[in-house]
Amino acid sequence: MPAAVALASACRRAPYRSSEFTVPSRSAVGLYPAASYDLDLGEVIYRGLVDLGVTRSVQDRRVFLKPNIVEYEANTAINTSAAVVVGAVHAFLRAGARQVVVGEGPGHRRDMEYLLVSTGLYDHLRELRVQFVDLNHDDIRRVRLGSHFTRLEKIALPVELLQSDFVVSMPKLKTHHWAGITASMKNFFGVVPGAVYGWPKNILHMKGIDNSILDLNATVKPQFTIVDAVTAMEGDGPIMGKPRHMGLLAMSTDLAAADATCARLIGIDPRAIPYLAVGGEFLGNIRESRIEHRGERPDRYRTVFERTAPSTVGHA
Amino acid sequence: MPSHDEGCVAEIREALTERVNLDGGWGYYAGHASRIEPTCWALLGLRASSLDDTTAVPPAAELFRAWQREDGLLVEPHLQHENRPNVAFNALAAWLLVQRPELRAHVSLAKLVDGVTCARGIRLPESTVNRQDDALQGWAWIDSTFSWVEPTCWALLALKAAAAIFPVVETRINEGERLLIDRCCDSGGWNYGNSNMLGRTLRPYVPTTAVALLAMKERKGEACVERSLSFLKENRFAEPSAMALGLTILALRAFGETVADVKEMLVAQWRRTEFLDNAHLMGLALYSLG
Repeated sequence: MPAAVALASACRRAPYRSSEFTVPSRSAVGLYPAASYDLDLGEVIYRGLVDLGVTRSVQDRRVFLKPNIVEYEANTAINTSAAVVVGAVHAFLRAGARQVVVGEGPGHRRDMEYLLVSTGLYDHLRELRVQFVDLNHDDIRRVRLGSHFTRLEKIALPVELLQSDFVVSMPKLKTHHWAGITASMKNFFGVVPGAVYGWPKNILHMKGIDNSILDLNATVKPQFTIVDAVTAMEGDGPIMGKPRHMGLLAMSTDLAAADATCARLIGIDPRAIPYLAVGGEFLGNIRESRIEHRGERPDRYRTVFERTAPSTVGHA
Repeated sequence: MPSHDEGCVAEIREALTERVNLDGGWGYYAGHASRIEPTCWALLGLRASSLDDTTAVPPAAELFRAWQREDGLLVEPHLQHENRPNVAFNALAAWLLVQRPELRAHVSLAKLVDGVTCARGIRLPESTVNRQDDALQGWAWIDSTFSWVEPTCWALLALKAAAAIFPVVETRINEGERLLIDRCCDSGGWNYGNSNMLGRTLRPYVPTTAVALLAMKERKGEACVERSLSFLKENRFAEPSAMALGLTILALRAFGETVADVKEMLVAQWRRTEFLDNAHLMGLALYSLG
């Protein structure tokens, strides 16, 4: 039984229309070395944009960068590094983007000012004169969901996100004690406005984390991902895990393919992660045979991440 | 010559008054649609900063009337399709309306308090992932989801304030207080939801601790309240933000503690970030500095 059918077995109708999604025959995932956050990450990311053929797609476009900013604690690996966000701003502007904006709506912490200042992102964005959008409190517009795993018909999403031409997921690669891993697709929990749906985006948690991840990705249809795995997180993620150096930025136009690749790199079978297994049926490619790699070979980075119960399924 | 504080208060007040919408409310950010939370904090802050805001009252009162549903809860027009009133923001509105009788001209405070009272966090089966009493039903951000610390605090503040005007349901207050005691961190203070998860102790945060202390000030002497007050005093500068510093000022003041140093830091934070241009935070800052 296909995973989508299993996940949505209680639904009377198919949770998505196949005609509205096109999975490419093959997807490219770029793995680019980045030994530390002190490197010129703008150069690394620009190389990825060129390799993966997206420079033309962003010319004269409004690019929306969605990092993962959850909580601040010194010497941890909870958030997408400010250095990676700054690098992406430089790279997209160099590629010809008309405007780059950065936005996040933390599902855990409500205090965006504290998170921006303490992570250092506030000073960087001010210096670059880049707009930051507080997705928890932005104006909202109701849109039809691209799929209906949550059985919701519509969802209210931030206007600044919906007005953007090119949406980029910028997660931190982490193990996650409920979802297995958190990377490109899980990152979209952060676009759900907390002022409407509560914290920690409670309505969607009650509809199921996997279901919500699928619906959000099917609706937002992000065009690109840059996964911060320079220093990733293993163990009790997404907040209390341990930093684990990988020295890597992963990029792709196919978020499912990027996440499946990242999962394999850290010793997790992507087919055992429910949202990835289902996403692989309509959002992108998760089968290894359908993913081609640019940049470095995956073998250079393969390892096994420590994980914490209850989510210990899926070890490759 | 105005003091540092007075200059800052004047700047924030001016920024806030510039951001009022034509309908009399405030959005979180300039030019955004009016929302409950920033409107409430703007009205609290402007009055606390001694501004003659009599012209702001009639349109705001009319806005609250337009937002009130049959069940008493407030919902902004563009969110009515969602049919998910934000319980915490409704409790904040009730807390405001108790303090500002002139805003109650067209809105029913009793119905609003009833609506908040009837909203409940869901009762969960006994937890297998953490150590807490999930049978307790406080308040959730959105009705019929999990009870969370902040909405429970705002509901308690609203009910306790309203009790000075008309009878409220004491059992709801008792259950809310029991939930906060149950969720208090071992070190004192409150996290957002749980005090522990998967065998690990979670750490408390400054803004949640401050608002929980405000909600529990009648329980001074209770062990968890005393531990939490110690935590807040020790960590009053730990989270540089208008939300953390503003709520800390309110909480410490409620417990008779000095707040001059926290006020100084709040002023410095305004100079640094202008609170991200967020009207909710400007209103909170004015209210706490006033």
